[in-house]
Formats: sequence, C-alpha cells, structure tokens
Amino acid sequence: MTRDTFKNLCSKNLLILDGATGTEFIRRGMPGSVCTEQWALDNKDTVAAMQREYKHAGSALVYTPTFGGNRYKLSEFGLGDQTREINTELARRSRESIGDTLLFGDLAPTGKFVDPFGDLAFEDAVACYKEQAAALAGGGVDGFVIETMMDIQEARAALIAVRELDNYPVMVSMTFDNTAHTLNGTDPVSALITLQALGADAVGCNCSTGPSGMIDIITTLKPHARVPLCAKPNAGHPRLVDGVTTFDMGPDEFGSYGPAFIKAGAAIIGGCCGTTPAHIAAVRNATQRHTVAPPQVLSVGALSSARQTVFLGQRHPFAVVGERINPTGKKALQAELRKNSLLKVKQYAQEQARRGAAVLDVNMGLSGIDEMNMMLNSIRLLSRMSPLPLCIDTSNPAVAEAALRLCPGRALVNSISGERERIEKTLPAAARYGAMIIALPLTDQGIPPTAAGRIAVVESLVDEAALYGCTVDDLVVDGLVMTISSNPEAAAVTLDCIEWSTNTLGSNSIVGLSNVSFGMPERKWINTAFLGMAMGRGLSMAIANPSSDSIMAAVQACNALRGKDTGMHKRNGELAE
Amino acid sequence: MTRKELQSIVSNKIVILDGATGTELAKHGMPAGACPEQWVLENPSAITAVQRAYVEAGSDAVYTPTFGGNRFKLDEFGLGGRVGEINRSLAALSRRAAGDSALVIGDVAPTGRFVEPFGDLGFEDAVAAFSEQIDALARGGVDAIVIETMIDLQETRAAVIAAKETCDLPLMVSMTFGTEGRTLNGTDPLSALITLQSLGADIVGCNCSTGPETMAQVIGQLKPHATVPLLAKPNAGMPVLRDGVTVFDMSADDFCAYARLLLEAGVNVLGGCCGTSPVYIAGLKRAASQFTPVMPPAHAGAAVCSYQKSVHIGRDRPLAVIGAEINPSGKPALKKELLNGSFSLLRDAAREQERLGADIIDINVHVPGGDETGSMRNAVMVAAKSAALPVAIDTMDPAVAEQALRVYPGRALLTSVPAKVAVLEPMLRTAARYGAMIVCTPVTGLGVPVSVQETESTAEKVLARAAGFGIAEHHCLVDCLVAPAAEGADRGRMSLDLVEWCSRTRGVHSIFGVSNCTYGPDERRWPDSTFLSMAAGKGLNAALLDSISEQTVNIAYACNALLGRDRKFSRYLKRFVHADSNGEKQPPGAGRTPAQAVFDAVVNGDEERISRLIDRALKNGEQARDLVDNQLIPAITLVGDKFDKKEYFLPQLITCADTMRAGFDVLQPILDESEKLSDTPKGPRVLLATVQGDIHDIGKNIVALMLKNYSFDVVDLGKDVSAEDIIRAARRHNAAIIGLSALMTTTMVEMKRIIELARARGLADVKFMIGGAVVDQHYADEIGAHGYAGDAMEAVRLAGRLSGKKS
Repeated sequence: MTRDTFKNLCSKNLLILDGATGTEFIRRGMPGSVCTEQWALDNKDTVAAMQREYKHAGSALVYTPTFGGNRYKLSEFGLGDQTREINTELARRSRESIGDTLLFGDLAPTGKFVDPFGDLAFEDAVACYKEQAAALAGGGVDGFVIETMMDIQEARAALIAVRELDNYPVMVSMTFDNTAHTLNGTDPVSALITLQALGADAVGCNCSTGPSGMIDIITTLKPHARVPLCAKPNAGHPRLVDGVTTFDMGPDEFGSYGPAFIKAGAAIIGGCCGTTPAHIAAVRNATQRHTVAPPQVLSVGALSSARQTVFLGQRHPFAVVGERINPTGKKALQAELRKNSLLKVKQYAQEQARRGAAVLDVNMGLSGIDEMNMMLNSIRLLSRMSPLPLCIDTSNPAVAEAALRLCPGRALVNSISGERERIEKTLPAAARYGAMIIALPLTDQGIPPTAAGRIAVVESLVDEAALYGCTVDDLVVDGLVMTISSNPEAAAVTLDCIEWSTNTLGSNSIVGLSNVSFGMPERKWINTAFLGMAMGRGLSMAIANPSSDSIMAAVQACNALRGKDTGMHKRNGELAE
Repeated sequence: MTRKELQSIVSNKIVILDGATGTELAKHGMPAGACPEQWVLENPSAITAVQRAYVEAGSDAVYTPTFGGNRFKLDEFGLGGRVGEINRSLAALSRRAAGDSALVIGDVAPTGRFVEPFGDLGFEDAVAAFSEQIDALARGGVDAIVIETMIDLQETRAAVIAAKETCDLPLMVSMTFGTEGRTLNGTDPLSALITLQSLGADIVGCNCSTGPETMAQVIGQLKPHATVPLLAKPNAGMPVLRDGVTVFDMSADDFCAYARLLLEAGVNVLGGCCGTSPVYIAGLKRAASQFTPVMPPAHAGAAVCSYQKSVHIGRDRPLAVIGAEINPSGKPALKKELLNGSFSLLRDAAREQERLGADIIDINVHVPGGDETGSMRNAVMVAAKSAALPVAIDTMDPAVAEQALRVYPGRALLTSVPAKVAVLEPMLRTAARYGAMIVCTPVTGLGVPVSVQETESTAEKVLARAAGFGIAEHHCLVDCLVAPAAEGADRGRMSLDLVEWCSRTRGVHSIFGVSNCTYGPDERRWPDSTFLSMAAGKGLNAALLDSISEQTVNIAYACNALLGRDRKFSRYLKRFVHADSNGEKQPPGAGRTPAQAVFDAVVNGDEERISRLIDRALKNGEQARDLVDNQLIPAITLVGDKFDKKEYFLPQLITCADTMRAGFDVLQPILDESEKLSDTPKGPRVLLATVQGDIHDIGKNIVALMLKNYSFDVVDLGKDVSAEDIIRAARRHNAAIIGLSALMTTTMVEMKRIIELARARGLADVKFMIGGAVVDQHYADEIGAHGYAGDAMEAVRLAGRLSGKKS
C-alpha cells in the first residue's frame, strides 16, 4: 500500500488496530520466559485464531507478532541468525490468517540504547531494523509500525531504515509514562516534531498507560500534528492477581473512551497490554458513528531535540540561536578543537543555555581539523548534555547530511542559498531528514543590493524547496544584514526583507546580528536597536551571543510585548545592566 | 500695506532696501554723540536727502530713522516721554520723503537691555515699550515694521508680539549674527528663523555685523528651512581706520559682486547696513535685476527650538527623545519646591536630561492647589537658562499654555491638545498665536480610545480642527495612545500599529509615551528601549520618556544610525567616540565632596544654591581661601574655556559669573577677617569706559563683570565718557589698564584720540585694551592699543597678560 493510500484511509474514518498480542499469547497458553516469536511460530493456529478474532472484532489493521523480532532481541534466545526467516514466516502466516485486512510489520526496541544516548552505533541500529523490515516486507506486510519506543534515536533509526527500504507507510508509536515522558526523557511533542519531520505517516503512543492518560497526550499533540495520531492504550493499570499480571479495565469501559480519543484528535485507535478482541469490539461499537478530525496543520515551524521543542513564529517566544560554538575568531576554541577537545564546546553550550539561548548553533569549520568528525562528536556531546535543539552550521553538504542523520531531533540547517551546490546537495539532504532550513537570499552572483532583489531569490528558493516537499514553514529566511558603516541603507533592506518574509511569505526569519554594527563604536547599541526594530517588523529568530545583556533583555521585552513572557525579571540576576 | 500686498511685491522681484542711515546722516553734519532721532527732527532736510538719494539709487523701501526710537534708548537723552511724538513725526517725515516711489518701513531696534529670562527687563515691559513705538510708527503712516539688529531672541520675540498686538502691518525681523554665526547672545540663525517665522514674522533675515560673503552663508543655511522670504542687509565688509576715519573695506563694486552670492543663496529682500551708501544700493539694484525671486514653500521641515538649538521632527530626522522627568506627579520633593516657588530640582532635572542625551525637555508643573500658570511661566524660563534644549509644555490648562508659550524664548511643543470640547479650541488658538508645534492627543470627553480605529478617527478630528486654526498637519504629532484598560502587551502592540498608521498610511508625525506602553516597574528600562526601537523601525518621530536613561537614549541614537536618520552617523559618533574622555559623563553630585559641589555649582550656574553649598563646605572644615583658589576660580576658568569652545554661550557665562560672584560675596567677609594682617593686595586696576558719543555698553558691562570675577580691581566709568575724563580718572585711580569700548564706526575713532592724549599727558605705563563689534586686532595695532579682545573671556585673558597677573 502506498503512503497516500494510508493517509486517505485515516483521514475520515477511525482506523481500528488490533489489541494486545503478548498478553493474549499468555492468556492463550504462552509460558513466561520463552521467545515470543519462536512460540508464535510453534503455535500457528493459536496465533491465527487470535488475529482472526481481532479482525472480526473490528480491527482494520493487524500487527505481525514480531515485537521482539529484531536481531538483538532474537539473539537473546540464540535466534539472531534466523531473524530473516522468522520475520518473513510470521508475516506470511499473518497475511494468511487475516486475508486482505491491512497487515503492518511490527518493529520494536532492540533493548539497547543508540548513539548518542548509548553504545549501539546509529548505523548498526539502522542496519538491524533494515534487516527485520526487509524480512517482514518479504512476508507481505502493507506497512510498518515502530512501536513502544522510548529512545527517540532508536525510533529515528528504525524510521530511517524503513524509509530507505521502500515507500511503505509507517506509524511510529512511543511509550510515555504517567509524567508524559519516555523513560529516556522525550516528551510527546518533541517526539511528534522529530518523527513527522523525518517522514512518519502517523505518530502516536502505546502501552505504559491506560486510556485516560493517553487522551491527554493526544490532546497535547493534536495542534502540532500534520499526520494522523494513533493511540494504543493498555486496558487500565496492571495488577498482580494470584501471581498473574492482569489489567483492571473491562471491554465496555475501555470502549467508552473511544469517542473521547476521537475528540482529542486520534485517527487510529487500538489496544495494548491487557486488551482483547472484546475490548476492540467495544471500541468499534462505541465509535461507529464518529468521523475523525483531519490534521489541523499542514506544516509546523518548530525545532526539537530529544527533550525539548522550540516553536518559532509570531505567536511564540523569540528564539535566540546561540552563536558561540563557532571557531571563527575564537583562539581558545580553535586551540581546543585542534586538540580534538570539546571542552569549550561544552562550556559554551552550558553558558548559552543558562543565558537563555533557545537553539545552539554548531559550526566546526576550521582549517586543520576533521570537520565531519568534530561535527558529529559535537552533536553527540550536545545532544546528551543540553536540551536545546541544534543548528547545523556548515558549508559542506556532506557534513550537513551526516549531521542531520545523526542529530536526535529536528535540526535547523545553516544554510541554503541560491548557490547551485547548496540547492543541489544541502537542500535535498535537509529535506530527507526533515530539517528546517535557513534560506539566504544570495546567489552564485552575489548578494542582491535591494530588498526586491533578495525577495526574488527567496521566492526561487521557496520553489526549489517545494520540489523536495518543503513548505514555507520549513524555511527560515535570513535577513542577511550587511554593515551600515559601509552602506547606510543596509539595515532598511534587511528590515524590508524581514517584513516581507513575515507578512507576505509567512515564513520565519532570522538575522545574524553582529554584522550590522561592524566598524561602528559601541556596537552593542546598534545591535540591540537593530534587533528591536527587526522584532517589530516580525523577526522570529536571531543568531546572537546570549551573553549580551542588552540582547537578551531585548528578547525578554519582545516576548513580553508578544504576550509570551511577562517575566521581565532578570534571569538569575544576570540580566544586570 | 497688508501682508498679502507685501507678499505679492516680494514674490514679483527682489526687493531692494536702503543702505546705512547713520553714516549718511554724519555726512550731512550729524555730530557724534547726538541723539539721531532728535537731530533728524531738528534737521529734516538731511534725512529727506538721504532717503531720496536711496530711492533714486533704486531702494524699493526705506527705513525710518528710528533705530534708537524706543523709550529706553530715548531715555538716555532724556526723551523717553516723547516716544509717540518722535516716532510719529519721523515716520511722517519719511513718508513725505519717499512719496509714492518707495515703501516706508518703521525701524525698531534693541532697547539696550536684556529681557527676562536673560536679563532684568520684564518681558511685558519690553512688549509695552515696543508697542508704544510701533503704535506711533503705524500712526505716522509706515507701510511695514522692521525689527532689526537684534541680538537677544527674547527681546525680538517681545517686539514681534508687540507688533502683532498693536497693528496689522507686515513685519520684517532681522537679527545680527557675528562671524561665528551666532548673535552675541548665542542664538543661531536657524533657531531664530524657526522661532520668528512660527511667531508670525512675514520676512526674516539678518543685518549688520558681517559683510555680504558671510551673510550669504547664513542665508544659504536658512533657505531650506524658511517658509517666509529672507532678508539680508550686510555691512560693506569690515571696518578699518583710514586717515583717522572709520571706513569699511569693501567698495561698492566688490559689495555688489559678493551680493550675488546672497542672491544665489535665495535672498528675497536686500539692502545695506554700515558703510553702504546710495552707490552701493544702485549696484545692488543692478545685480538683483538679473535674479528672479525664489519664494519659500508653504511648509518646510517641522522643528522646535530653544534660543540656541533647534530640533527637527520628520521622517528622515532623528527620533526626538523627550525627557519627561519634570513632572511633580509622584515626586514629593519637586512638588514641594514648586509650591514654594523654587526651581532648583527643575534646573537639575533639565540639566541631567540634557546630559543623558534628551532632545527636548518636557515640563509639567501641575500640583493640585498650586499656581500652575506662575510655575509654568517661570519653569520654561528656568529651563531655557539651564539647558540648551527646546521644551515641551505639558499642561491640560489652556491659560497655562498661553502664559508659557508667550514667554518661552524659542518655539515650544505643546504636548497635550486633547479632543475635549472645552479645551480643544482654546489650546489650538493659543498654539496658533505663538506658533507652537502640537501633540494631538486622541482623548475625548469619554476618555482614552480603546481601539486603534478609535484613536485614528479621534486624531483625524483634532488634525482637522487644528487646520481650521491655521496649524498645518506638518506641525502636529499624533499621540499613538490607547486605553489604559488594555493589558500592557496589547497596548504596546496597538501603539505600534498606530505608529505604522501614522507613518505609512496617514503620513503624519507620531509620538508616544514609551512608558505608557511598557510595564513592570523594576526592570523597565530595557523593555522601554526595545519598544522604542520597534517603534522607531515603524517610523516613530518622537518619544516621551518619563524615566530617561542613558541606555534608552543610546538605543535611540542607534536607531537613528540604522534608519538613515543620522546622516554620516555624525550624532552617533559624536555621542560615543568621546564618551570616555569626557569627565562630564559623571552624573552630577555623585561622589563629589562639599568643596567640589561648590565648583559644580559655579560651572552649572546654580545661583540659588551656591551660598548654601559654601556654608556646607565651610562647616566641613574647608578654608575660605581654599574655596576661592581651588574651587571658585578654577570653576569660572572652566566656564571660560567652555565659552571659548562654544559649549557655553553668553547667557550661561553671565549666569555662572553671577554664581561665582554670589559665592565670593559669602566668602568675602571671612577672607577680610582672616587676612586682615596679611593685607592681600587687590588685583590689577582696570579702568573701563565706552567712548564719547557711544552709548552701547552691554559688552563693556559684561567685560566689567567678568574682570571683577577674576579679581581685577575694576573702575567702570560708564558710557559716553570724554577722553579728558578717562585720562583724569586713569591718573586718579593709578590704573594699570584702560579698557575702551565702542560699537559704532563713528565712535571708534575716539579710541585713537584717547590713546594719543594719554601719550601726550605722559601716561606712558598704562596699557590700553579695546573691544566692540566694529574693532579688531588690526585696528588695535593701527591705533597703538596694546591688545584687542573679541569677547569677555578674551578680555580677562588679555588683561591678565597686560598686567602680568596670573589667572
């Protein structure tokens, strides 16, 4: 099935999934501590019966019983070498038992943490999922579900694996605890922003909580989701009864949540642990006359890390992209990087975060160092230590691509322009990994001197980006400010561009501040005043040094005026003048 | 003649005035030292001959010989009681001489007194004296009035107001600017123009002091800002002494050649002053015939000004920062002072805001139960003396506005013209009468508008009514105000929308109170400056800051630099390049000892507080002698330096000298007591006099004051003193130096006679120093004087050098 077919399928009527597999197997006789996949192979009829029961109860999409079917999990039972056969066979049998009902291949955690959060190399994780997905595809699945994920990086690896396999629809479902975070610390919105940008066809959550907690999550996600949302809750809370884990919610009660899920914005509902065909039937019965709400947004201007999302735009706080992790003109940082040390990078990241940066720019462009290696290492370090999304700042398309592949969130790419190489290499890479993109209004011929000239370049970039599926929301127009001391009109040109980007194009905009004041005395006043003016004309981001009190105070003031931050207070007493 | 008629004459051709009167009358036998007005009445044929000669040479208009015809000047000859009769007769005489061939213009000139706030002549007394003379001239049949050779803008304003209130005749106003481009009193041509054309002068210009070349620069500078035709009446170059007679160094041919520069610069009305004669006028007539008049536009740039500084408002002009610290609301100390009729805090606030970089000073003196009218009248005058900046008059009461605008020596901004029925019309009438710029405040009887649209429509109403009173939109700023009911952030956004409406949609100037739109009392300064930059980026023209900070002003300067509103970044560079080298950047009073506070008081001209500060310093253990030597004298020396560098102008010099004097008076008895035995010798003795035949003694009096302050032993013989009397006095007082002053070319020759007489009488050791508008170093050398001083500070230094006294 194509991704578009799947999208249409979820756009009007509720798509009902199956219920629990694991707890059903146990209920139907699977002993503890066996390899589930092996047991399923050995108990073909039981599995087939269960799948058919789900189908009859109303499941329009059934998962393959391959939750632990990746090489790492199977290896725990000495079955790693049979990964392909097991998955293909289980998919083939599932197909047989449910006929033309949709069948999605189930991918789930490897049980290992993936780089940068653990020691499983990212490409190893991708390879592992690619192996399992290819095997499932060979067994005839219609698409994939990546479920019960708690490591966003592992979810990304699985998603990239499927994407690189073929154009299958894929749902990604994370598991959030009752604090609405994964065990690894990812919040639902950040997961959504990251995964939908990376190409998930549906995003949602399963397991861990019962229906009521999950409704809240769906409600939180809905305003930012440009894909259908899925929910597969447990049948309430687990309880140990006579030494056996049971779940406390009966089918009727479970089913009664169906309408609330739809109201919250879910388009795909199923059941996880403790649910049975009866639970699914109850859902079906409760939701028969309901239609689902399509995604409310077509695109989203937001960046994410594994732990945090930064929304961009007039309705959100102004975002400062901390500029300091850039060796240009910084002797101390250069020396450290030449020694392969990221000590300063770490220090700058901490300082900038403390001062209120919303995003960290990372630039490793320095002669005599391995930019690729240092960029990837910086991303690893920063992803672990800082919750701030990253801005990948490089002129090398290969570095940009590798960095985006590794970065465990939705990054900002700095930058593309009308230069051919950027359009032909950086833009496709950014689009592939769903990054947001800074668009510079310059071409191979140079920087147009007038606002009209720059606007024309941006318009052509918007068209180019659209060819790769990028929307205006994915772009951040760079005001490209020149120094007023050599051109007194420079500020006006940039301000006009910013206003056009905001009001006419409807995109976000950014400037690097310090250029404007080059050659002038007491530059901070020029920088700060320019920032204020640009904010007034709609600027949403600035690449700046957040250790400047004047700049951060201007940001606070701007946020106050946008009604986003009434705390005019000094941050930890550090906005002293 | 009506204004319209004059306007039509001026628009058709370059109007040629007459040349010098005094020198021409001297040729007809008028003796030096005579009262010209009286002499002319006694010798009518002389003036008739002079005026006819000018008309024949091509003058389209002649001035009446009434330069000294005001009550104060005539009083010097005991003729003060005959102002009406003399002026009426002289006007009628001129009328007969000119016949139908030329216009007769009633000549009004300085009283010789400084008018408050710069001197002790009451403003209304000045108005009354001018009214008396102008009324007589009008009755005598003049076609127009000219107020000429003015050095004091406030006296000029008094004369303009007098003319407007006395008759409907067209009015020309002409001030006299030195070679450095300011009047003796520190007024620059542009501030004069802005003040006078908005006050209702029909023609503005300059006369005397300089020749045509320098004057052409002034006219060229004024032309882009003028909404009235411009006048120039230059001297025939500079004065020199030839064969014992003062002559001007420029021939008629040269004069007319240079007059072309004036014509090219756009002058509309042209004549000659000292040293010119009918042959010069004939040359001017020929030169002018090749030019067609360049008439001014109905509207030039909008500006307000003090007597020494103008602030332009407009799209390409810097954002005007209006400091609104002077407001007793929430300031108990200021409130108390105002109720006591004292203005020390107000003066401090004006100075401090100027130091921080404000462009305009807002003055609100409303205290419940106080005399707002009296307070405001005094406050604007104190502000004019304390800071160079123009003021904004902030009152809800039209009567208060009326009084303040009447006496403010410049063009003020009226900051609150609300759309309230009872207030709108009287406010507009007052603003129109005195030519103020106004802020259209969109507040109605129902309160402050709650939406952008409501503010827009209310502002439109006020603008329309203002136009009805002749106040063009160009002179209005729309207050981008929204209701206080809205939350801070909303108000901010709405205000920004209004600024955009003003600048982009409507094309009117905009203003707002920044603090109205931001909130949070503690950390407000940064939001203020951010909000300010946002608004500046949308085209805001002026911002009212009720708490002005250096940061916010820095941001305003940066905005101007960014927006092309600061050509060549000259303001930005000036503010920041020398920021660190300037010791004055210290806030006043901070870290100052009681003794240093005495120093500061002199430098700031704080007359009111100097005695108290000296008492405090003495109580603190300072010695009187030390206070004189280490504070008072270095302070007045610094003041002198500032004057030299054109940081201070004459009014400040006088105020500071007065302050020094007041301080010295407190210390004098203590010094005498403690130094009785030591018998400190007094400083060198300087004899001062204005020479015989000359009664212009303002300059000499200033020199006397300054010399005294620098502890010279000054003997002032006064004015119109004969050579014999001077020599006798020099002998009696054993003077080391004789200082001579003369303002007129006819009297400067007297200096030479006095020096020769001194030599003849054997006063070999005494040194001569000379000064006065018409003399220079060259002349001093020529007549054997030991030195020439161009102003009072130079005179102090010169006297020091001549006497070997260390200062």
